[in-house]
Amino acid sequence: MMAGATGPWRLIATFAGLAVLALLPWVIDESNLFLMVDVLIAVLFAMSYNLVLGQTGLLSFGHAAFFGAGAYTVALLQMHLDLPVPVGMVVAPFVAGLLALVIGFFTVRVSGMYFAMLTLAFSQLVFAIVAGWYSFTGGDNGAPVMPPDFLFNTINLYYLTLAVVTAGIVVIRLIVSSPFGAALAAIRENPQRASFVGLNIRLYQLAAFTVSGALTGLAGALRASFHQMAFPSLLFWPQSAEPVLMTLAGGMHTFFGPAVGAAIFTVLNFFVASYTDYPLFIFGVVVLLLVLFLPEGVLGTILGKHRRGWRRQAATKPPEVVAAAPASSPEPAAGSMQTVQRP
Amino acid sequence: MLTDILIQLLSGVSRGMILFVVASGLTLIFGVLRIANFAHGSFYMMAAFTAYAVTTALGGSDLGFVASLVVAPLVVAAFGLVFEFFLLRRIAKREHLYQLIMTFAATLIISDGIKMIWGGAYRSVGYPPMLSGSLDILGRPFPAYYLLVIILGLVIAAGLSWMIERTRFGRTISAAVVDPEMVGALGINVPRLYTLVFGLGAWLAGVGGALAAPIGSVSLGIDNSIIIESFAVVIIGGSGSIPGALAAALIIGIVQSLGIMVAPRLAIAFIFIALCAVLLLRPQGLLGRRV
Repeated sequence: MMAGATGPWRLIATFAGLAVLALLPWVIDESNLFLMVDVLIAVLFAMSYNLVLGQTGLLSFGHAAFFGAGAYTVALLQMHLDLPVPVGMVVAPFVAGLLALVIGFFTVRVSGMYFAMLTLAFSQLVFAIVAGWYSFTGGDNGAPVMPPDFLFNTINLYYLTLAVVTAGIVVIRLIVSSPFGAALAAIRENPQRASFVGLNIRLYQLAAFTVSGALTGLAGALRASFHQMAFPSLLFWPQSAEPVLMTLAGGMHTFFGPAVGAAIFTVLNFFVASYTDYPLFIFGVVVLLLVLFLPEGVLGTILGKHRRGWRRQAATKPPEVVAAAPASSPEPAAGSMQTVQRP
Repeated sequence: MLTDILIQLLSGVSRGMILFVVASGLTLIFGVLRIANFAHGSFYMMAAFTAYAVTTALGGSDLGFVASLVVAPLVVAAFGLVFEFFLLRRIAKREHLYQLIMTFAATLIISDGIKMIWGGAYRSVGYPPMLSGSLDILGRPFPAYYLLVIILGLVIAAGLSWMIERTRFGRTISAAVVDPEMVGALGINVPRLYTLVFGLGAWLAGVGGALAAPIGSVSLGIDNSIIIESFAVVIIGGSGSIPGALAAALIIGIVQSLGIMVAPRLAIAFIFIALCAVLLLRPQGLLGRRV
């Protein structure tokens, strides 16, 4: 998971990293600072996402819905209720979280590849509604966002983003190291055993999905404020692939892996898009090489994390242990036994 | 009014048939290999462009159409075989996440690959001359080409069911779904079986793409809607079930066609309402064995 460096070193490294980020506006020029804002938003997106993939072992392919929901919350609150951007940013995680709760309610019933396809289908439903409902969302013209004056200054924008993203990461950190996080990890490692211990697996998965969706919504809200626009493409399925790829590129079994992946992808995207007419081709090849040669991601490989956890969700064989529950096991957790383990 | 509905229904059926042909390939791939093949829509798009190239090369003749219907699926099937053999097979033992990501990478590469070859412009193929007319159904015209699509769809459905239930190859596939290790222990080359199934699935996506080319436009981005709809078919129909896929594809085709009459802009949403309904009532899909 993310044992990594121990105690004080980890703390020192974290603060050193934060200090570097805080000093950045004095070191790099404005266009690069813009890129950094994008990187930070992607970092929050990917790290929120890894709460389901790396932490809980759920392969969601529909997180674009929550990203877009956060973005549209900011835009629509301003458009229809005349509420300023900061209010939208506060509300966004709640709206996205609520959406995640609803979608999760339907989707955590199944697991593995089925879960991936279902979350994808639901996010496309949200996309279809947003893209089609012209009178409310502006359809494929998008919904404009008018940030307050102080956010037109790139440095202010950068610091706001840095503050929000740092807060988000702290929340994720707290979740991961809490008993709740430990329960999620237990579910990821071995759902059967977790249910024998008395964990209501679906409920925990739903909770993780909801929290992850809410934080993703926060990232979406930042994105809309930064680009001054909410677009349906934020909800379109290739957008859902982004956090998956970032997480994979950085290393899903490490805490900061997704952040590293997010930085790599955002920067790569920036340069590839400006130097070639065929950016997707290059991206595709990069992803292919990653999958083939660096399955643990950049940070995962550096830290030497191997696939200890995250057993196959869609294992080719059904679990055989169901009957082996010790009769004396504390709280046999009747309801949670039928954890659907394979499609 | 009633006639309008009937015509709409029929065009829904033909739309559903194309979806069935494409999605049946995905059902095979997902049912047997457990790969949620994101590149499936790209295979379809690749076939549509190849069909365009073949038809145009032969001057839009009937022969060109027939040739495209043969050549395009074969090209795609060959691509699928190579893709499975050289790439997917290498990561077959890993978590399914990696297969998913690899097929996603393929969508990116194929999309830009097509752009390199044909550019980003919209193309159109047009009905083959012999099928350019229309039939008279209760006094309304109905494109003859749609009828061909419906017939071919039924032929493929029957052929696939026959293959799975009656042939040795089909029975081996069914056995491999349940227990690949046992099938391997019986002396069957399971990796080769998987490659063949993937190739067959790609071929079906190719047939769908070639059939769809004369309807609507051939352009970048046609992979997007077909892949989502194909996933919906696999979920609604039940994994690995060909009759389930047929039923699901027809439901989606008809729901969409009628939805366009009721609320044009939200027609896509109807699919998902159907999807949610099925999930709540039968999580394993209409004709699926189990989840």
